[in-house]
Amino acid sequence: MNPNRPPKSSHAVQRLRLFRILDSQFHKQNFMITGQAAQGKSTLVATYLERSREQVLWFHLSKDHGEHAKLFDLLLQGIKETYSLIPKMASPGEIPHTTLGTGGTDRELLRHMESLSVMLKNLSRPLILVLDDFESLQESDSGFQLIKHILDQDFNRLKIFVLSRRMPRLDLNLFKMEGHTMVLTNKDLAFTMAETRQFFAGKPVMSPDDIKKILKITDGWAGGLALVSQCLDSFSNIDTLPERLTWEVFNFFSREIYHSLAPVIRNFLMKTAVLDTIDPEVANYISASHDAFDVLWDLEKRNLFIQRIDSGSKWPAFKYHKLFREFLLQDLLNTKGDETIQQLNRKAGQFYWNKKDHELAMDYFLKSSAFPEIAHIIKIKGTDYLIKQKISHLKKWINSLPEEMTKNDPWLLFYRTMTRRIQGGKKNIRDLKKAISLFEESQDVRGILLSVGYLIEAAVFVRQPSRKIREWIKKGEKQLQSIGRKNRYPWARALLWQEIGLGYIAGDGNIPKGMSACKNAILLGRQIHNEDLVLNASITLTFGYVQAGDFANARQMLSKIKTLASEGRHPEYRALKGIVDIDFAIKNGEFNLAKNLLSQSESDIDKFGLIFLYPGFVEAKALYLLYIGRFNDARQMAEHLNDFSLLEGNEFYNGISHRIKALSHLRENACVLAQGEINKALKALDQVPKGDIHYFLTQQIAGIILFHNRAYDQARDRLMPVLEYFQSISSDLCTCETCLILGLIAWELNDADTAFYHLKKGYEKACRENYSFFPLIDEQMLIKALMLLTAHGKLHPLAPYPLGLLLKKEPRQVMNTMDEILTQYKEKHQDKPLKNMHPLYKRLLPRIRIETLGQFIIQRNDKILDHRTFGGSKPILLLKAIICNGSKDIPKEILIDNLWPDATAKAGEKNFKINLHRLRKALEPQPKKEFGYSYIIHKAGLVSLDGDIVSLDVHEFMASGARAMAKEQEEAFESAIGYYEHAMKLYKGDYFSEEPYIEWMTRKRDLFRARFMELMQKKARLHEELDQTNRAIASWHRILEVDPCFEAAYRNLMILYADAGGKTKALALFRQCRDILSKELATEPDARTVRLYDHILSR
Amino acid sequence: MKILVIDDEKPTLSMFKLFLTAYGYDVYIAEDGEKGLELFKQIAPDIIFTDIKMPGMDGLEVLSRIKQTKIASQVIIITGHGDMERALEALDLNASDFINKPVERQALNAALARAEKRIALPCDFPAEFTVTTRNAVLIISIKGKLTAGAEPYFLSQISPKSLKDIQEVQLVMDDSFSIDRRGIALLMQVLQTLKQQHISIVMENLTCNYARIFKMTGMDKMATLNETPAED
Repeated sequence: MNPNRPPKSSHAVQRLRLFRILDSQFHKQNFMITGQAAQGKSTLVATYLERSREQVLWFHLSKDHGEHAKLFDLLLQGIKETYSLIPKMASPGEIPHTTLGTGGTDRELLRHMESLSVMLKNLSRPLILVLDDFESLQESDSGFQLIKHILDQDFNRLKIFVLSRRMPRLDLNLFKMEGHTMVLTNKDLAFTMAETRQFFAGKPVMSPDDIKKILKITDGWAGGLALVSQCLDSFSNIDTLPERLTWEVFNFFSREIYHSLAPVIRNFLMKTAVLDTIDPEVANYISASHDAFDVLWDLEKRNLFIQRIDSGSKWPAFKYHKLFREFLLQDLLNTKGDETIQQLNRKAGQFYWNKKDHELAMDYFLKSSAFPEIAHIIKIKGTDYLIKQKISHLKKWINSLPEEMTKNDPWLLFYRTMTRRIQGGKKNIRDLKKAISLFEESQDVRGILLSVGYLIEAAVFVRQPSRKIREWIKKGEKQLQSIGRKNRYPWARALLWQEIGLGYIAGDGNIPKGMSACKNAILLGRQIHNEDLVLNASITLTFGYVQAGDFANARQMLSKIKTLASEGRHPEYRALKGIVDIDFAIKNGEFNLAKNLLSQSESDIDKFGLIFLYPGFVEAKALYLLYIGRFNDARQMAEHLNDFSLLEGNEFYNGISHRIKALSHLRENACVLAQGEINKALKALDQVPKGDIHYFLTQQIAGIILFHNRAYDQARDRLMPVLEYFQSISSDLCTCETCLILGLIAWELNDADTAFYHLKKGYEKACRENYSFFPLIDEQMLIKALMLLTAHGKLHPLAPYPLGLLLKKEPRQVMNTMDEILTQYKEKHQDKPLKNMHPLYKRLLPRIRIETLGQFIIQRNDKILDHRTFGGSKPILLLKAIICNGSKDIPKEILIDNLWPDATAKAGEKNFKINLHRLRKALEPQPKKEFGYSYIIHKAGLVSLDGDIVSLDVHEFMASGARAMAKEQEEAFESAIGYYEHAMKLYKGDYFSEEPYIEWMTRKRDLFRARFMELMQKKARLHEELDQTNRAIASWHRILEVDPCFEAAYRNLMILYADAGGKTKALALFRQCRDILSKELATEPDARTVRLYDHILSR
Repeated sequence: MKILVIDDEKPTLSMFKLFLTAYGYDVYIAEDGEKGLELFKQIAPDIIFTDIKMPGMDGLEVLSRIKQTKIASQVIIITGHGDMERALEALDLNASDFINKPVERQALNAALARAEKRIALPCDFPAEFTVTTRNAVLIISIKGKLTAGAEPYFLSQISPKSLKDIQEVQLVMDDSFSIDRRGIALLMQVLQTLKQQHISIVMENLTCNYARIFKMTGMDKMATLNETPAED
């Protein structure tokens, strides 16, 4: 039976006026239908939605749904049942209980809000939710908040109808402003004259005056119209109607009608009023009648405040109108007394229990305070609810029982603690201990397994000391051992393994044992196909990896459980993933990403009380601050970790805190302070079995501090076991950094073979993993490692990876390291390292850029060089000559001839040498002696500019032009235009325009100019072909800027203007052409231009 | 049970919130005195933790404003190490207790346990003494707040007549015990009197916070101070 189908409204008036309003607003998401009782809200929406093809889910809300968990369950159940009818839709699941957090009612509400939002956002087909009787929810109820949250969201495939007697306090104005919500009020719903006439259409002929009178006394109230209709059936006299018929007189008035019914019907109505939904079968059972269906059917036909609900089963079900039901219940109480009501409810409960619908049974047993029955059902069904984590139901049931009944019954006591779960605090510890002893008395193994499991959890959450947690873990392990290989109680065993895992990891600090327990839980959980258990155990296991600093495995684990945990529904998953991602981002030097992830994690931890993830978050934040150079803030954060350690009462985070402080001091080169902190860290971490990685990470820093203190032997001794450990756990970055440090240590100890063995290993790992950030080794150490490898030919420094690393550093720093390394070689052994390092040296020099088109500019690293630094005009002219002669392999004689044509060979040679030296010095004031001048090469009488480090605008101009034409050829027009534009941008003026009288420059100047004109014409024509008139016009004008007498440009422009309707402009352009030609060249436009002019003129 | 925590350090607030929620309390937080007072009036918490040093309205100001309201709450002051003078000021202003920063778990548990016990007592519960003698040991149990008002009665309990044949006096502080500065002076006077008569003194069931304050006043030179560790 699906209780969420819309009520049937076959006899209702079709209110087309309101349908039209709803149709016009149907693009909106929320529909607020408000009006007094029996104003026809449900009937209107039911009749309206009957026409809709979309899936409709109708929820009748009651006071119980004020509790968000109950309301969530109602919605979830309805949606799930709908989904099962539509197989393509993925079925949403329940919300698992918190694994790594404290929960709390408000956090539970947040979880439910998130979960519902995610579910509704992912609907694959449109859905309409109708929330009827919304006034049953109080504004302070968590259920109200849940709905408010949903109404506030945007969903693509969802519409929500809220039906309420009063206007709920929502941000309606805001909703309306955003076009999110439409509202129909009491006034809108009131029947008009035409609708009233339609309402009474089936009645004996009524005069317009009668209708008018009815409308006046009812004020369009639908309930009043129904009463009048009944009244007419009974008395046929409209004059007996009162002056005003509002819902306050409902009781009085309905009594009149009610008493006109046969006593047997009255009795039936009274008794069945205890039922929320009236299934004819249950109605027969509790009223001892046999014709419930006929009676209900007849009443519905007579519109006697009864709705038919198509339940999808053989017979329809019915529902009394709320006002009418209240009236009937009052009558039942007055005539039969409370005891009868209790009996009827109990009977209804028994009916449903027999029908195996224990939830409905429970509703009636609760109403009749049938405690033995309630306890009986809890004991039978309780574990199912625990497994499905539907704690809110269990809570309501167990709380209804008197304490006397629960306190000495192990299962009831156990379930009571479960309903308090995390919020129970120490009370839960007390009760679970008692439950365990009661279970032990009755030798109930399943009870013991579960109680011990949850006791461990409770002890971890209230931060009981490790020894106590260990005590319970041992008890649990003993129980599990005693079961041995028997395949009994799989869920309870899996649950206990999971809690033991949590106990070890979060309570005792024995991570390896915790991880092993979690793996057992996962294995068992998989066997029994319990996804929630597998997920929770996986989350705890991932937490273990994170605690152990084993982020590689944590990452792997997260990708495995991704399918189990849709991210919106599992804040633990999201927060754990956040911490793992932060570690990853930091290791990759992606600090902005790390910052965002930190703030997201902080918000999740705070919002959902994920206490166990808090220290990991603080550690990550401290490291982030440290790596971005905010050392004081990092130390403050580390101090906070220490505060946490004290409050938690264990030394572990204290150790981490000192380690972070040590690293921060080390990064500031304060080795003494770093030494002090690292000693404290080692002492603290030596005492806790939290996994070895933290201990070795600390040893690693201790080794680096020793290195900085030049205690190389000690540093090596300290780091060798560290390397061994990191290699054993495949921790790549840690291994890589340790190798590099050990290499540097060996180098300092004059053990070159070992040095290069470690350095090479470290470098290869870094290169393979593409590490761009090294948390422990500083810049200087990294540069030195890379330079040593370069000097010895172990790596090519211009390969992308090492070059990328080196270019991030200050060139001066790298060059100083080169010097340092070279001084360690005797002069005669320097050749090879020099040769190996030279390409890098050259790469690190500032780039020189020379612009020749337009103004002559020389830039070094984007900074314009002042011509005065060249010590006269001749060095500059020499540079121009080198450029003008092709800048490569120019015999010096040509240059001498260009600059000093009249000098003797000797004087020319001398001048050349002096000016070449000045030129080189100006470009490269402090060349490294070992490498000599780099920008201008003078070898075997040939002079060249080094093209790797000197670039010329003319080269770029020519290359751009060539590419543009090639692209045009390939018909890649947009790309071609891009290259044309780039060439146009580079041509800022004539080649060496500041030297108009130097003969040897003229040829090249003309060449570039002609090339420019050619490219621009091509560009303009391409625009024309592509119908890009404005861009074509702009290009032709640019040509005229360079050569105002270029007649072809005028012709093209005249055509373009004329074609675009600019005849006047075209003719003006001709006149401009004629004037310029006359003025500049004393000539006339040629015949083609004149013909064109005439043609345009004659148009 | 509702707890309000007022502290200007965000990380401290986050940490308190996580821990106290895990303990099963409904936790509210405020990052300054003004906001704290506003929230206090709205939610009427059972217990308040407030940092003593805060910009703007400090913890003592918060305390005195809370005490001016009619809402009965246990105010626990969070002090820095070595900030005993201010802790005493707080006790004079009727603070229930104080704990030192950084907060240790034992201290927090003790403060919470005692605050919960004091909630059950009427407001301004004056010191109440129960005196018994066993094998030459005079046992004086003190319940409630020890102030100057208790002087006549307390001193009468150690009159020469009462101390006849007594070799040891045990002062047993009940879980609801609290004290102000004049109460400490009175206690000192009692200890000195007993010391002069060569009677050995043992103070039992002290929280670590009170033990620390008593040590600072030199009581440990006159009596044996026995701390009771808080329940886990």
